[in-house]
Amino acid sequence: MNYPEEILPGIEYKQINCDLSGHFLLRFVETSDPSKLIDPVTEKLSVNAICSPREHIQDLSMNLLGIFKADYMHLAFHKSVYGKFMEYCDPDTIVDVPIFEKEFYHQPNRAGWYIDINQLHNKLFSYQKGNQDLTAICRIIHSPMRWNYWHFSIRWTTDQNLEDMDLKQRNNVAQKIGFAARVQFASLARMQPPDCPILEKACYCKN
Amino acid sequence: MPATPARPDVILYYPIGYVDKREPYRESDGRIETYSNSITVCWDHNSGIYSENPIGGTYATPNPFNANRQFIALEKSFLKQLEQDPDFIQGANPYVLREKMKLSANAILAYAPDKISLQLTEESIFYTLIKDDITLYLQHCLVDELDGRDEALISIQRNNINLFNYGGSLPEAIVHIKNFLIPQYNPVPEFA
Repeated sequence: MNYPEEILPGIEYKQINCDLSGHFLLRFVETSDPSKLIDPVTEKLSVNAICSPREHIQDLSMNLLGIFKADYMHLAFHKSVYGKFMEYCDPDTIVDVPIFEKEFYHQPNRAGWYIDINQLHNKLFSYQKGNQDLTAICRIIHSPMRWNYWHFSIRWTTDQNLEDMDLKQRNNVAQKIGFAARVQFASLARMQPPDCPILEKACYCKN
Repeated sequence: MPATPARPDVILYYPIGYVDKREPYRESDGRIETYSNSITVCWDHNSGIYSENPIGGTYATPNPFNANRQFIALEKSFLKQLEQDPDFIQGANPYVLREKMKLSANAILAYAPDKISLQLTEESIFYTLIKDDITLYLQHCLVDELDGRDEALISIQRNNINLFNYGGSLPEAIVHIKNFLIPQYNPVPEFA
């Protein structure tokens, strides 16, 4: 099995900052068990399949669908090479092509969910914490990794001054945002890969 | 206000949209009357049939015995999941966890959900509930992070549109739910 080299960062690539309207993000989960993926009540993606509550959704890993195909969700790395591949990097970093079995393998027990970027990027989430009304804004940010140039992150900005909070308070705010976001994602997510355009080269190539 | 009942198994009629917050009660002949935020709900103890609505509209029809059935199902599911994951919360007393589950389960079953599920997640009990067109998600956090009280997170949606998100103590969260759903019984989560 060969690694799809088209998803690796490369000298010709740049940071993606263009309009991603009409594009979808894919996130995979480490189960293909429908009973863990589907909420029996809503018959949609389970909120707990979005990510674990402990992850707090502060920096949620996603992949831009297009050149990154849905099948690539099954690419998995051995823990021994996490330091080599599972790290953020510049988009034009030159990396080694991962070697099958020695460094990566096929993990069949994964499932993916898909979400329209338009439904998330710069969207405002409001929530109440005790008696306070708070807001958080969702941002989709290109965050290439050594194993995948098409890696994106969902991050949040809030109207709270997080810098002035201690870690416990910060986590508490993140927990509230995370819960609201996971619920919203679960209601918006699709379980089947959508038809999705390929990003224009000008968006990701230097020349 | 109420029209005169036309059938013996029908107790009261209210116009659609009328909100009645009275507690349900049992009639001397065994009928149990409950109320919903949309229209009168009547259930005949003998026939087990819900009364028809003579003035149009749809019923929100809580069967008072459903709450009990649903509670038993939730508790079974809780115990099964706890058994499958004995390290769900390290060092926690299963009896205490079960009592905490009873508090939150009873509190939301008071809303007579059409459907409800329970899932143990990391240090939390996660409920999904559908009542009419409202979907309620409640995460009962079993390990307090702030002031020693059990915390809860709720998110309420109508037809996939987010209406309300809240995080605070469990009793406060239950109070907020009342702004969107009318309880059919009296939820008392004060001891959480």
